[in-house]
Amino acid sequence: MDELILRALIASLLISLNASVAGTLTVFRRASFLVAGSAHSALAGVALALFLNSIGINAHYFLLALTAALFFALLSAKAARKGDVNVGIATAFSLSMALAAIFISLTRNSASNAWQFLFGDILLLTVDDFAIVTISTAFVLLAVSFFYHKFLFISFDPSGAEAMCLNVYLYDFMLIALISVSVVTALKAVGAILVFSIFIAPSSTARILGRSLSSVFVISFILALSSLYLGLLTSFFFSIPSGAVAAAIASLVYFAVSWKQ
Amino acid sequence: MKAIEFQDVSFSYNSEEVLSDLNLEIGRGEFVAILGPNGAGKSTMLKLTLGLLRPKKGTVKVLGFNAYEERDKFVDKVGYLPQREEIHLEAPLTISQVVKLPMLAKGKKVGEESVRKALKIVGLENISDKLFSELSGGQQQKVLLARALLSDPEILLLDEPFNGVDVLSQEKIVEVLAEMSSRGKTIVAVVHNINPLLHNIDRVVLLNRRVVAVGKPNEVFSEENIVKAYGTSIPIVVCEEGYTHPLYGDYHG
Ligand SMILES: Nc1ncnc2c1ncn2[C@@H]1O[C@H](COP(=O)(O)OP(=O)(O)O)[C@@H](O)[C@H]1O
Ligand SMILES: [Mg+2]
Repeated sequence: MDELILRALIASLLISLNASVAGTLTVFRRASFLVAGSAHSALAGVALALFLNSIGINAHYFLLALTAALFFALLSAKAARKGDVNVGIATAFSLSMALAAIFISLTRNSASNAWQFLFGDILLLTVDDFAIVTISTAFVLLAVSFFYHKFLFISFDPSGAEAMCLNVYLYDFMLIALISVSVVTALKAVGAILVFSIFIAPSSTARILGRSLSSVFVISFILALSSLYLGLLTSFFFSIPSGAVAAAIASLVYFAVSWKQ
Repeated sequence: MKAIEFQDVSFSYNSEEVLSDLNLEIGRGEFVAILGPNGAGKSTMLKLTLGLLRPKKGTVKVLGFNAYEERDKFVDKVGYLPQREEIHLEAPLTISQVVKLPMLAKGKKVGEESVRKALKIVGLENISDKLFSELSGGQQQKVLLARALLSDPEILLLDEPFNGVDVLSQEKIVEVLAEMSSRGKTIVAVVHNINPLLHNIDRVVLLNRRVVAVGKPNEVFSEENIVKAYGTSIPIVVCEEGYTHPLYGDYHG
């Protein structure tokens, strides 16, 4: 099999793991906006990296994207603490889009590079990209399994958690940060605009269908993976971007299921 | 040593003072109800007791410890039932998972037997696999009570435990609280309607940003005090057993 295709198949699997774990925790935390927010701030980081590279300064897109997304996570956690999440999120969101637009316009020959990060292309992952996805997925899964019950508790009953001396702000920030890492992991493969559908639609669907914690994780994994594979399959036969097809499928499944409820 | 002491405590979230010059002592083993209109500062008072908020002035002590500064020294001895509105139902947790979650989050093991025992006390041991989100308000409140009982706390703080709770569940909760009280536990319950608890409590605190009145229910529920707390008068009846009941409609906050 073509190496690029094999890579895409395995990367889809890894991204589905991210989508299931981070997406489900996002839904439990009632923070879907967060995925969109960190994806778009990551985009500002990517745009800065592309710009720096174009003027001869070496910068890796993943590091800058991660930094930008974590900075966004910090702002969100702080805003959540003050109780006014929406204004903070919305402002940070549009600020990062503005920065992304500025950096992209400053960058020569940027259009196609920027396009990949906007809509993703799982068939264009380099060996480096693939390594990043693998390591970062392992990191997210490990960290989440370590703090799993704390994340659940602060999402279910923040007052009760606080009353028990759990450092709710710290764990909330860690949760938001891990979700951001997960989003950045999927960024190049799925794209900043479509990552929302791959992360949130399957988990929200699974939240409706699942009758237990584990079933929500499993269902969202299966939904994310089938969407991504169907996307690949479609792009193989027709020349349509696979990420867009995957995102469309995941979103339509969500609407179909929530319609029936 | 008192269970809970408020010494000249004032508190504000921003500029407006929410609680002013609170002085109150709650003895060990006392069963106290806190009563007052919406926004009176009742929940704030419980949060000050838990050491979650720092008083602007004065000191809150719990079991002799400074509530804000020495929180970790008494936290294991205090059980807390938050207002049910503060709980989020997105995660499909079963009843027994809800009961276990605090312990698991603290990295402690929980035996199935102790969970079953706690659920038995509130009469829910047979449906421990049901989803919490699908329970009635009364059942949810009983689960939260069982969760608080798991660690056998010295002091139990409850924030509006009867809100949206059916009469049978309400009776069960009162029964469990009365039993705890008879075993010498300290109980502080914030309530909108005092009547379910009236026969069991030792004292009532009427609160409206400051302590309007405190004492035995019969002393506290006077026309004058109720007008001071609620700004309007409420009919009062004395029941056969000689308790003074304020008769507000079943209004919810
Ligand atoms: N986190 C907060 N930030 C700002 N103001 C608050 C906060 N929590 C409560 N308040 C205000 O403090 C006052 C007392 O609130 P609270 O203690 O919840 O009253 P109660 O429980 O008696 O209804 C209310 O006016 C409320 O609006
Ligand atoms: Mg309240």
